[in-house]
Amino acid sequence: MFIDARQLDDGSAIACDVAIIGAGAFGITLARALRGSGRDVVLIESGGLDFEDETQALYEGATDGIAYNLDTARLRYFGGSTNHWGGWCRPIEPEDFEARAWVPHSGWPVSRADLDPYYPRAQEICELGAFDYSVENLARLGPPLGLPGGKIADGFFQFSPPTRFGERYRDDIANAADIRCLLNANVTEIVAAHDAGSIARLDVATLTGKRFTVTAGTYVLAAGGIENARLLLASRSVAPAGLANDRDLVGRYFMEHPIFGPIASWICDAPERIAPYYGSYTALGDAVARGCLSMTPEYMAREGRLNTIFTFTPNDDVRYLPGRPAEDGPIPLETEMLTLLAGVEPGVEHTGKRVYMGCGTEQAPNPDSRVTLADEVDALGMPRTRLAWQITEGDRESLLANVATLAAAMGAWGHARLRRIVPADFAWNDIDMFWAHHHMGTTRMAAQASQGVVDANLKVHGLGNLFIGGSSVWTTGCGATNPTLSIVAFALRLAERLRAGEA
Amino acid sequence: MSWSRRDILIGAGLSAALGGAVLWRLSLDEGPGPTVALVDRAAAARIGRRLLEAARPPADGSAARQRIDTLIATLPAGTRAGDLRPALADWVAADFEEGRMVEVEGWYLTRTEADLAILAALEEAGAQTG
Ligand SMILES: Cc1cc2nc3c(=O)[nH]c(=O)nc-3n(C[C@H](O)[C@H](O)[C@H](O)COP(=O)(O)OP(=O)(O)OC[C@H]3O[C@@H](n4cnc5c(N)ncnc54)[C@H](O)[C@@H]3O)c2cc1C
Repeated sequence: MFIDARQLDDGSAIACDVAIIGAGAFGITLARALRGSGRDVVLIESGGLDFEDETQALYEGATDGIAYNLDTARLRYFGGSTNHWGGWCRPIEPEDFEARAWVPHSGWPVSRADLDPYYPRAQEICELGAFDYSVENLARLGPPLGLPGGKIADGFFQFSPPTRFGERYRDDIANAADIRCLLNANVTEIVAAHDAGSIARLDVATLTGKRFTVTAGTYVLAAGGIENARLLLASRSVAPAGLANDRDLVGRYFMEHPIFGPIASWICDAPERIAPYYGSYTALGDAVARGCLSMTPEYMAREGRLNTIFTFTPNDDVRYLPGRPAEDGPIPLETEMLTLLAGVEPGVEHTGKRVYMGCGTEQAPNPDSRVTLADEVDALGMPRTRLAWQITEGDRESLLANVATLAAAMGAWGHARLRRIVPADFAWNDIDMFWAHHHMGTTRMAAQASQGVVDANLKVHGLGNLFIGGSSVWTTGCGATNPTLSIVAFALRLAERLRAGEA
Repeated sequence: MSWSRRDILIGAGLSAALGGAVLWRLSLDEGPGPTVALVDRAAAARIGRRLLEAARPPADGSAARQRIDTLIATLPAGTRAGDLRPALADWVAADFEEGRMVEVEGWYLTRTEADLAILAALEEAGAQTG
């Protein structure tokens, strides 16, 4: 059932078995998966059922480092950022969980096998097709590019409609007898017990001035990848450095996926070899798929590189007329490059295809890239977020090396030549790039409390009854893999443990 | 600039000496030289000009010629100009596989293609001036 917290009596005290902070992809999935478990769930959501300026303004904050718009990078109402997510989905690759000698701070305390049992159900929740991301599955639609050299892998994304969790699952929450969803309810502090070994209560406020508390046996923080850190850091009435922050890890290791669209263009003399699924959304069984290219694990290990995922869109035809000087098109030397390709014969007219290529790229975990608290406070008196997102020279080098490696693979294929569009000496701060709105790393997962904030089961190290959900627990950036499918899988895993009384 | 039998012999001799191989002779007559392997020399010359304008090593005619000579020296004796194109395809593939690439205006092309493009540009300039 939904309860508008603005209608509660000031000073109310609400008790339950499981309190979930945030009704986004994680919170809604967890609450739904706990239905019928015998646990009384309270789902606490800052916003209402629709967007409201005043609530959204609670997300405003300051930035240092790379320019970032904290306000537009997420949404603060029932359904969270799934109210405007793009629906691109892929599971995290097995190698992403492993410790990589060339990536400091890498290595999750869980493996892909720990998530595999939950992905098929997560696919259903995100309204995707079968959980089969194999190249063999893709090849049913036509041959993948199969670039030579073993450095570039074909793969694909599946697309969610995209599922708006707040709409798609609204009735489930409304009709569940064992879920109370408090709307317009902002958790302002997670208050630790005096021994700081467990959580005693949540302090909650509405923008209309009501204050009340929620107490639970188990607390789950699922307020999004930036807000999770902000709320822990702002919870300092018992632990002055912030909750779960004795080791100064909360808020550090913030990662995003820089997006370039485009980073490169290529000219191809054999457009028929580019299967249509690379350029457009294509039905694959009950899924909608789009092909992509990424770096192989063997290449990354050998060359010490991070991953980059490339997507592409065939563009205009480029005509080569022998003996006629090339007209300067949008891309210099493009026709000239076409003449170098295998399928072009002397003296014969030829039509090639221009292809634009975008990418999302991985950044390595970096403790100096971090969320802290600003001096200013929001309308509820909570310190605002200060984000100092940093991407390193190593991340840049890795991206450029991956582009060059792709260029070499295309060249060896014989049918394409690639042109990098961003300058080789670009600076992260100056370049025209976007970001994917994937907020990772600020409450990272690690086996040891000295290395991370939560353990393999999402339980906060050193706190008996607090769990954290969402991509803030990501230990590494996982290539450029979009996080939401895996966020949902982790929520299902936690639900199973809670249902089994293991947590 | 055109390639003389002498040029090819000297280049081949240098390569052979470097490689310890027996001196051989590519039966190319005086004429356009190895740029004949290019589908469109004029197009390649435009690439070559950009490489030369960028004036970064190795956009230098002598180095380019020496490298091409070394490659030609690996061809069997009696190889004719018309046979160069498949050989070029192999060299290019090998360059890409080994990551021997040159950048021009953001484009990645192979060392060998860049060398031929430079030679094509120099040939064209020679033809125009001389
Ligand atoms: C424009 C855009 C496009 C995206 N596209 C993709 C994509 O294609 N693929 C993909 O995988 N991911 C995408 N994402 C990311 C995706 O939206 C997130 O990964 C996902 O929504 C995270 O789920 P979550 O439950 O962890 O957090 P959220 O969805 O952010 O939900 C957090 C909830 O907590 C609430 N909350 C916050 N603070 C408090 C508080 N103090 N008290 C109570 N409630 C609080 C918020 O109102 C919100 O409802 C995109 C994001 C954006 C912004």
